[in-house]
Amino acid sequence: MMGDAAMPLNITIKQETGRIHEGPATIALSGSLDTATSPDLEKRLSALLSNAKLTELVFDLAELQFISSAGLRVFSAVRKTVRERNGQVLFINLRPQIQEVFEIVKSLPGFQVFASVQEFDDYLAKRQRIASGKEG
Amino acid sequence: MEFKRTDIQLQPGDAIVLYTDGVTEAFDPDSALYGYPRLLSDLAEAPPGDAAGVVSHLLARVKSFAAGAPQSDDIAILVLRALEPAPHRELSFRATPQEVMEAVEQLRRFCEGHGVGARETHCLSLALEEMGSNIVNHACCRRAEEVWRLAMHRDPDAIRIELCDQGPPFDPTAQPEPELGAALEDREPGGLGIVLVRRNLDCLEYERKGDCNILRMVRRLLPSPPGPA
Repeated sequence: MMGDAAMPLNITIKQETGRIHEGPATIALSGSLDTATSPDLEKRLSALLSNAKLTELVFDLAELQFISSAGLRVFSAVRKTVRERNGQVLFINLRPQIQEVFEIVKSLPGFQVFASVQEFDDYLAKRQRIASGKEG
Repeated sequence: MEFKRTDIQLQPGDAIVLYTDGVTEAFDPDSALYGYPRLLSDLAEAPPGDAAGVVSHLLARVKSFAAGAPQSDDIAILVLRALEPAPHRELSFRATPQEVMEAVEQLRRFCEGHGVGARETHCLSLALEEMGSNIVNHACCRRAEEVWRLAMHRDPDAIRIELCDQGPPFDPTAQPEPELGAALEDREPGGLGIVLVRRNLDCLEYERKGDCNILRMVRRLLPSPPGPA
């Protein structure tokens, strides 16, 4: 049962380092991405994206319980920046009510969404095979 | 001595009863014990209403059982009862995003107190977040000293919400819906909120009354599914 305060947003950023090419940054979000909390996410992502070599972002929304249009606008701004770098933004582990919001505004054609970590891992593995010439 | 800790959610009408063993160990003239099973069945017949009524009822039952036999131990009974929440609640908020989320939290608690399901609570919360943000950002232009009001009402089969602000006339329902299908970032910003709100409500109405913008939102509640047979 929630306490008295409004639901916060917890942001955890993990980035693979020490590789030749900049690895993807994984941003795990927990709690509520709304009109009060989205400015904080915007700031953190802005700082992250100041590194021009970062072209791939993965948002893990497993613990995200609430998203409003304020949150979607942050995602869309990030995607615009990343697209300009020929990169991509991926979403994994959407809860049903979060998936529903994405679907209502038909954001899905613009975003790549994976239902599970397994699906995402399969996607990465396939991309690696393509990159190393093992698959057309 | 180890104490167990547990968290429970009281629904309206639920009561917590604390009692000393002078209750369960009350003897009758034949030395039978009042006992725990009898305590449960007597409590089940307690009248609805305030906690004091439950105390009087239980005490009367214990005394009636004892039928004049000497009291074996101290008798103390404490009852806490969750009352039915009021069907209507009105609150005022300042024009900041944090206050919008505080309003959403109050709505969640109102819904929870009235036994509204998680999905319906979520739909209402999203509608309130979007329309509240709209008021704060556009009608009040984020002037923190401006005030807007939220009224929540529980009908037998619906939750009704009314938002009221004193900004310039602005009807969010009259704005055209943004084009969907195009990539989100290629569209004009704004307008997404109203789409989310419409899909989560059964009714959305705007009225300009004197100096006030009034927004009415209704979400019908599904009847509770029948319990197990």
